[in-house]
Amino acid sequence: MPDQAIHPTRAELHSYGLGQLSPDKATAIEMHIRECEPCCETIANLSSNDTFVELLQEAEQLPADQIGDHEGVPIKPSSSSEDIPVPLAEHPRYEIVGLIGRGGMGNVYEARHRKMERTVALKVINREFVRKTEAVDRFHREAKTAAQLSHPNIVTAYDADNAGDYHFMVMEYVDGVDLSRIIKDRGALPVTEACKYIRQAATGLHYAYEQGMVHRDIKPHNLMVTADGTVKILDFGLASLAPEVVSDANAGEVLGELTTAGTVMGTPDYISPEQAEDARQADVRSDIYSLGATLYHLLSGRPPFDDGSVTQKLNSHAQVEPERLESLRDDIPVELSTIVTRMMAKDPEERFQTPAEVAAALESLLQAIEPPQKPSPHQIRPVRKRRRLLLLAAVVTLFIAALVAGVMQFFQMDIGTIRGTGKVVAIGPGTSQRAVELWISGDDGLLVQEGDDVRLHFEGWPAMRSDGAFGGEVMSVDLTDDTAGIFRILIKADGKESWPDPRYLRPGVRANCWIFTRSR
Amino acid sequence: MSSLAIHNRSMNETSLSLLNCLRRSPESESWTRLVELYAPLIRTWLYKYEVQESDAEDLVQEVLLAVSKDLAKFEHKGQPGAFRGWLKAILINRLRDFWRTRDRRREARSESDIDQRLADLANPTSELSRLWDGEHDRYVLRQLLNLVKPHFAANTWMAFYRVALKGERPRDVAAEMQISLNAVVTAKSRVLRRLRQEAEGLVESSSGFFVEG
Repeated sequence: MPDQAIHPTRAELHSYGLGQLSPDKATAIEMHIRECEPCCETIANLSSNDTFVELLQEAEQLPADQIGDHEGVPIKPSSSSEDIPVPLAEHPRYEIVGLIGRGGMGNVYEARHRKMERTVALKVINREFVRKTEAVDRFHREAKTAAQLSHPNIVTAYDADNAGDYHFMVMEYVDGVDLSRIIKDRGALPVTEACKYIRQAATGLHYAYEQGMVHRDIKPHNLMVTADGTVKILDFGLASLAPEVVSDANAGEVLGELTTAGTVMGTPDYISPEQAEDARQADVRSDIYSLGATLYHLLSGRPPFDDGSVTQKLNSHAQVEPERLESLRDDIPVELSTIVTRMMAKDPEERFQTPAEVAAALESLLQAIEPPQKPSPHQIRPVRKRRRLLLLAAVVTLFIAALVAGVMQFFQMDIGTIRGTGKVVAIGPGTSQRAVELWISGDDGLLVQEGDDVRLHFEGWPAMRSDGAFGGEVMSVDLTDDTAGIFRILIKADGKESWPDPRYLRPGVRANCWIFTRSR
Repeated sequence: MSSLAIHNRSMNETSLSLLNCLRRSPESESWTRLVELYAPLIRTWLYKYEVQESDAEDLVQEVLLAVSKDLAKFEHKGQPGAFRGWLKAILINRLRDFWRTRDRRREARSESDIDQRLADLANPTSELSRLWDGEHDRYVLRQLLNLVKPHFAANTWMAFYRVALKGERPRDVAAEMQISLNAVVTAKSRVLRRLRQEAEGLVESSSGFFVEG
């Protein structure tokens, strides 16, 4: 019988709890705690943190087949508790609905904000990326920066949070499919479809670039396509975590590092030569390269350098010209092939210098391939083939109160969506009707008609519902031969609340604009 | 019967570890275990060194054969991580041989690249070595978890799993599983102890923890 009067020391209880004791000692304590509740409690309350247990936890998280890149493997939503780390499942703010994807950086869960009842996606960063305090700090810093981005072509990040040592990004829940899945299912895409996707991605990238952010991991897997064909870039602000793993090693061994981190960074099918050499060199032109490689993949059905090992691929990015697209399929316009070549130039100086240039080039190509249908008579203006940007002026009156109902209604109709981005030029005149004039570089401006509904989102304007949009109606459209368009927006100010604060709505502020064209 | 069940709860329990088992019985059963434990890890690293899938299986066999042949000669000397370092050296040798005989064409491109990275892996203080160590431990433990699991009652394993691996509170687990707190605490301790025994000599942090006295 154990002697209840002689309790084991705290250290012994601790060691027992961690399975560190020799068999004799362990047996003795086992017998003791069968009778002695306080000692049993002590063990139960001791933290089980030790390196061996941590290693076991990490080991347990290795994928079942142990090898390979699970990126892009879609998973049916499941709420089996084994998939959800406990601290996450118990998060006070978010209720996990199920696992919706796995990626190199971590798993993605669908979740519901308990109070707001808003559906969000949680990207839980693999713990190995954020083990060091500085990595945790950087993650939260980057997430904060990413949360500043608000653009229809970027998956909105709301917040960064953690559950115990699980750090995660709270993001807009996007009901869509990523491009890697689309090409896997369908193979090479039609020319116009591929161009439209990449043009949208370029628009999003340019917006982020203007906010001082580069992506650094552009690839099909990070481009989501929603049901209405909108492309949204995923994972802004996350790529900076990956090089952390890599950057400690000796410079000069970069290929080795990348290879080593192959599971971390995904296959380097889209990485620019300069980024492969030194991740710190990556600027927006590296993103342009990766976007070019992505476009190549969409058009040819395979990455630019498909064969060989990681190192071979990296060497090819640095030294080999990919096979010309024209030789892979016969419906590639020379102009398109030239655009891809320029996006993927080895020397960043020879590429398009900004994503906006890429978007413009693709836009003018699209115009040439499929000129927009002649719009109704009062918009009349011959389409000039080489026109890069369309000038259009629209006057829009926004009735704030009608916003939600209006938007909902239009979603139910058969509509097309036209997007543009612009800058506020002037505000005024009058008090009952306030007007906002926007320069807008949009697309398909010829399709815009009077009466079309418009949604606007001003940069930095705190979100109203999830996207901070408010809307109205196009009063008139004027197209000229100039190279940019102008929107003139009239906003009816119902109350102080609905009028954007002058901090957000002032000359020079950028706005995103969606125009809902009725089916025609 | 690819289990670890060779050792019953005997007087000699602390000295039983997977490593010792492997060394003591270099016959077929031991071979199976070696393959189960190490093939995934080695395969992963062969891929990192650009061995194509078609060659990888042969090379995995070669490495493991070399391990099994020399296991008896391997001396642990009580250094933490000695085994994985030894295994790494065998892997490096095999990879060097492989590339030397296989590939003359490599000269066209960065031939020295693989050599350089192999040299890097051979250097025990390099980043690559650190990565090897970490992956080695995780892969081995992953396999050990699978191997040890059948030796415990389902309830015992579940209690261990939830408390130790999933970080749940023992009290909650006890309540939900409708077992006593004592049962939960005991389950965790027993399974952890077993895992430590099996891992001893293979995984760094498992050894040298015993509090005696």
